[in-house]
Amino acid sequence: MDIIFNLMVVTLMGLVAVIAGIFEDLESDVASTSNPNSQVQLASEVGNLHKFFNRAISGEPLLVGTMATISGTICYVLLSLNQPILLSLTISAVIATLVQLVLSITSYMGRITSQALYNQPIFMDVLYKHIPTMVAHAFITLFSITLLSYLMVYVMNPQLPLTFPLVTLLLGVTLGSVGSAVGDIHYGAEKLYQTEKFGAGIPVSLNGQITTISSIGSNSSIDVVKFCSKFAGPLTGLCFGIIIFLSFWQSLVFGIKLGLIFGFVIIILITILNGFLEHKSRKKYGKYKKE
Amino acid sequence: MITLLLSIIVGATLIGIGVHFIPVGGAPAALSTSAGIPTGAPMITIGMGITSILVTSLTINQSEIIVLLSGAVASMMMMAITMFFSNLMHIYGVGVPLASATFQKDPITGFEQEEYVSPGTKGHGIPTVSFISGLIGSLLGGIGGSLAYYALYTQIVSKVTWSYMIINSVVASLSLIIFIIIAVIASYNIGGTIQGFYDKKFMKKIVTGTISCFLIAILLSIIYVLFIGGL
Repeated sequence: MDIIFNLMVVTLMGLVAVIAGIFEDLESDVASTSNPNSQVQLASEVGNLHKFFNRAISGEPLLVGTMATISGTICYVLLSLNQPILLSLTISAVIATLVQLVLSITSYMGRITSQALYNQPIFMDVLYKHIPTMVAHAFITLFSITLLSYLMVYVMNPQLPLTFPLVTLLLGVTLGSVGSAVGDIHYGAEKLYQTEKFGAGIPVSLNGQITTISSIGSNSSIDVVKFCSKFAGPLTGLCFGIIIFLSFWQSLVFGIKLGLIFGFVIIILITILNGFLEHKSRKKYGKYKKE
Repeated sequence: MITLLLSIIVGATLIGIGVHFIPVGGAPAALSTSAGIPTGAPMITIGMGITSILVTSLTINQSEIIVLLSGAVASMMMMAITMFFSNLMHIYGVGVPLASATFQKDPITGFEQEEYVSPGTKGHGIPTVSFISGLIGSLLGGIGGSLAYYALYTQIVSKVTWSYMIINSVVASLSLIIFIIIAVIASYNIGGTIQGFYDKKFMKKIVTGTISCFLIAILLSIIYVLFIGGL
């Protein structure tokens, strides 16, 4: 029975990780946090007036890690005061989201004010429109990360021998690095340059020339989140979910020593699959014509 | 204490060498302007290190070799899955084949690179040779991290009477600090993008990278020995 319970817990962990991954990537898109934000910043410098949200305080891993730690620490305090679990998880995620909200508003205002030199005004409607969407995504991310850490520290058997706030930090940073390594590409290489032809990288000469006009009116980060929720978000979620699931699943089912061998087999399988993918993409897309 | 000193020096140097193997594209890779993983070298190294720390903390009571291997497998798995999904995103999200302009021909698959790199860019995605290089990097990083974790754990557990959970948390934090410091030092040395061991840049960077990581590792290990010696 123990192994079935454990498997169910690990599956649940994987599921929560998928949700965390999806919403973390979408949050970074709507608030324009990560690597592609360099283009949003550059746009006004090269003379493109835009209505994108602009908030890059740090790399995505550090931001998510910090917010998750705030949430985890508050949740740990509430749990040690014998509060109900669901209430503690919700309150801690709400407080951490509030911190992120304040950070986002001040960061947006600061960033755009510093770009007054390039005639980029602060659009108040950008602020009013994006903040609720950002907060909604941030809340789900932080709640999922805190729940995932709770499952790892208190429910999984054997428990993870680390303290709750530390686990939230670790998972937050990992989630951030997965989110920026997988999800960002769709936002940066595709959505920001949608007027460019599909099927090519962005040449350095085009840097800053982002798509500022949408089908109706100006392009905003809400459009970005709608676009990215169709592919980038789910793929990031799946990636993080699989990492969490496989890291713990193999040792639960096969034991530690056999699990190691099984882990190696999975890594080799992924490498082979990647080789097939590379071969297929080259065959399908073909060579680039020389200019 | 000598074991701790040596373990941290070896572990941190291994992490430093490992970072150089990881194909990193930084912000340009997020625009498909450069090949590699589209995030900074420190970020992906810390992410990979954390996965190995999480799994190592679960297997810490096993023999040393099992601890080292489990850390290595965990970080390799994280790196493999992330690189695979990054490639999926490049191929189906952006519609580009995997190619890099930093080498002519992939030595493993034999694929020509130049014609598949879109004009005006330095490549996109992670070709097989860079993928394998990333796996080697994560193997070295995972072994280095879990070696430091194991050495720190055995020293601290013999000195204090804290609970099992607290000891592991302290050890995990200390190991994470090693990852962060070494990753930042190594990425300063890389300076931007690198496509793994087959990149022309790799041979120029690896020697200075190893030496600087070794020197930092000595400093770090002395600080750690003083810290743990005083417990």
